[in-house]
Amino acid sequence: MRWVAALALALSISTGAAGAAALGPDPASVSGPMSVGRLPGGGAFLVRPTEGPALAAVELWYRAPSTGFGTVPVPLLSRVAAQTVAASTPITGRDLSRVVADGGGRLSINAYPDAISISALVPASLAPAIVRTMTAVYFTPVISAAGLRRAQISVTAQTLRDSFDPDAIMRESIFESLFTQGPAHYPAASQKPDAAKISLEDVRAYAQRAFRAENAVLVVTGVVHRSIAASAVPGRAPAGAAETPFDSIVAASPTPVHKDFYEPGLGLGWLGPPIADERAATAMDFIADYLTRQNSGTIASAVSALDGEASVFGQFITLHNPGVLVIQITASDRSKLDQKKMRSIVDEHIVALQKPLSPAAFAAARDQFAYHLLSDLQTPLELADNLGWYTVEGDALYAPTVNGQRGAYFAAIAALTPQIIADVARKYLAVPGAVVALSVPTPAPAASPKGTP
Amino acid sequence: MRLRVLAAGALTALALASFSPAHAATPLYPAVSIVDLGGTRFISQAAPDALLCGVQLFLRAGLDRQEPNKSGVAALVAESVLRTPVDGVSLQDRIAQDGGSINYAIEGQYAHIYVEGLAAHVPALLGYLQRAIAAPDLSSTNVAAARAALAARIDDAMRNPLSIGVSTFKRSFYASSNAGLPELGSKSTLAGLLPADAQAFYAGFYRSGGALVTAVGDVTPQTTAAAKALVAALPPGMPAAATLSGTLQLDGASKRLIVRGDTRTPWLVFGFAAPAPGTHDFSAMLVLEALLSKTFDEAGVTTASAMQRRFGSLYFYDSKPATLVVYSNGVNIEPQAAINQVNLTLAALSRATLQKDAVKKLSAVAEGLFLTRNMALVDQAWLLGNFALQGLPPDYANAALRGMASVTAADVTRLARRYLKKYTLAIVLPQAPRVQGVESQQR
Repeated sequence: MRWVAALALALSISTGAAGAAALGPDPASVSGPMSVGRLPGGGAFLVRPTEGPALAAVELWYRAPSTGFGTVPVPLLSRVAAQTVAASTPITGRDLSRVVADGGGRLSINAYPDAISISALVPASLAPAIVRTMTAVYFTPVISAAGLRRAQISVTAQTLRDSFDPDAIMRESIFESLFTQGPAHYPAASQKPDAAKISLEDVRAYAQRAFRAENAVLVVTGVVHRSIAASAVPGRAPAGAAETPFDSIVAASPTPVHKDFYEPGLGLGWLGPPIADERAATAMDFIADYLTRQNSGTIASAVSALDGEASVFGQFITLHNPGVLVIQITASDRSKLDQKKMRSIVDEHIVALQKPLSPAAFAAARDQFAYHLLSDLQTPLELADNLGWYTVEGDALYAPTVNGQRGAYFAAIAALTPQIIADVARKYLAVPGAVVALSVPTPAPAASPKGTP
Repeated sequence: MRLRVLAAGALTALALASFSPAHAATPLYPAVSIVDLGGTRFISQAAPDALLCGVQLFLRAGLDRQEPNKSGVAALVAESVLRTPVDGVSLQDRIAQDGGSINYAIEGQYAHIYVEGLAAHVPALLGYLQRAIAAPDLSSTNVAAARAALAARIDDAMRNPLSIGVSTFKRSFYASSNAGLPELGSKSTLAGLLPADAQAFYAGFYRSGGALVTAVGDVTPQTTAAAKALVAALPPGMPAAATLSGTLQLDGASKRLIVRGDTRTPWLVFGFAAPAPGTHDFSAMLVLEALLSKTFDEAGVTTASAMQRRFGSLYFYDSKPATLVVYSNGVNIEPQAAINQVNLTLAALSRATLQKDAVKKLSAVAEGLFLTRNMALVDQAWLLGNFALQGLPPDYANAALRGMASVTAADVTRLARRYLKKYTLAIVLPQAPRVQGVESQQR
């Protein structure tokens, strides 16, 4: 799923500044081909030209309003509202989804607990028109009943798909368990397919507050000119500063969660360092990669050795405060890998990591970590996702692609040591805060035939 | 009239488009340079800001070099190369330790091995591959490990209904050659392969003659030198000829094949012949595929992934002749309804008269689809080699995309009549009902 991929790249990085109302970095702090600045109607832009195929990613990122919408789960409302705007036809022109489709491009909309992204991947020649259309549509949103209907159908289909995805279910359950209040507590969609109940008034109220230039970050990457942000429109009249980050309330003692599912699985979640603690957050990124990366992670390898059909997913998700490390294992319903065994594998490898790695093992793991990071940032879309997330979280300068390998993130990688890794593992990974078990329900015994005991 | 509604719907959507980008005058993929590595071409498409470099080695060791009763031997050799010890660990682990990755794929007419890493590391990574490929471990122990790894991948593939359907169609379509054999073989054919089979395949087809190397991203002079050493380490000479050549063209009536897989819903794969790269028809077929995409796919708010769509299409142009498949996902559409819709749409296409403006708009869609499908380094490296091995300029992608500007409505109609009249339908059915858990979840 795309939002997992985006999180894997972007959320897993710590950011420094927190709570600033203004979005975007100081232009003076950026070198190389990237350009940054203020949009005409407020908000920030980041343009990162690249070489390669003539493609461009155009994205708008918003800080999601987190409170003030009654009982409607905000992440679900975010998703419906953002899709309604994309599907509503403005008075002049066409709706964004059709503009992108007619260019052979891809449009995706993602709602996270505290952020929303609207993302278009298109041929580079279309990029200026997409910047213009996307900013026009999302800085002065038009909400139509027809657009809402299309959005509800789309989101309902998405939630239905998510309801069959064990990773989505476990991840949301982990967050629901770790946090008692705030946007991170509410599953975005997979367990509450209530998109059809969201009203036009709900969507209008949300769009009015969220979709405005001051609250936006425009990110453009790919084969584009540095000046492409000039294609953005100002939008409606200023309506106040950007939304501020909203921290969800941590549960004092989460209780284990059990759910029936058609495949067994185990999800574990640990509260991690806040985004301001760059060193610890970078160490958590390293740990997630070291333990769970497909084909090379120690837990992934151990699970695979026991059951080649099982899969392991892990990432450190850096939120404002605190971050969360998730490790999720799923197996087939035929697997002999039960939850007890899954848990013992995870525990064993986390305990091992609480002692310093040998210098040689650490050096190899760090090289792999750096490669995995860059390998996941190859395309314009991946770059834009990454830059957008860092910026909306408050520290674009920490994005690995800013200032290249001389940037802040690579400096943080270079500063890691085996002792730092062990210290961070001991501090944050002693006991998982959330435990989610998916079990295949046992069929009820057949009723005894009539007349038999 | 559903037929008319379908065709009209697609064309109306196109006619309403308010802008249609002109094809860029500048190339859509970066410039290519070619270096002679002593008889083997090294084709690079540099993008120095990429930080990473990807290098792909193409060998004439594809599916068509296998005997049918040795199906899987091409993959077995490639897998054994990746498991060959280098500095005490397998090649793939050695490369991973240095911060890189290696993988391979077996296509109809070639095998390709792809190495990727930080640009500064890639020469060393290629050095490891050079050592392994010059003297692969084809012992019984290593071949057995490779066989087990392939068996696991085959199990994975059996859980992908699209993969099953495409494989079934190709096996039928390329019936008179071996290019349609399953990429990894089958568990039964693999079980019968001995180390001697792997050794014979390696000796016959892992040759520098006919090989090709492509590189993309941050390509340094050191990488070029390492590629030269890699090719020099291969046994000299040309590979043996393919055991059979030619294909069985679709003729007569369309046919249906039924296959079972580890899927929860039925999938349909409609397979067609298609023009290979190198002619104007290739560009026209890209436009026709875009038309199919617009016609079949519901206009959702966001873009569904390939596996989530009701209908999708894939154009395979790694072998001659090429193929096109249209598939339907049983989660979203009932199979008989899908068959009816495809039949009605194809009939409408063969009779339709497209407007010039509609073809222009479709070209824009086709350009976007092509670019977004070929954007990662590994895809770019594959494109260069795939076209070059078919005797085309390595940067043929630019020419093909430019060629769409001159595609006419008559071209599209002509191709629809020529290629889309008959198809092989692979029907992928579930092994057995497995709904208990799902019902439980839905409750």
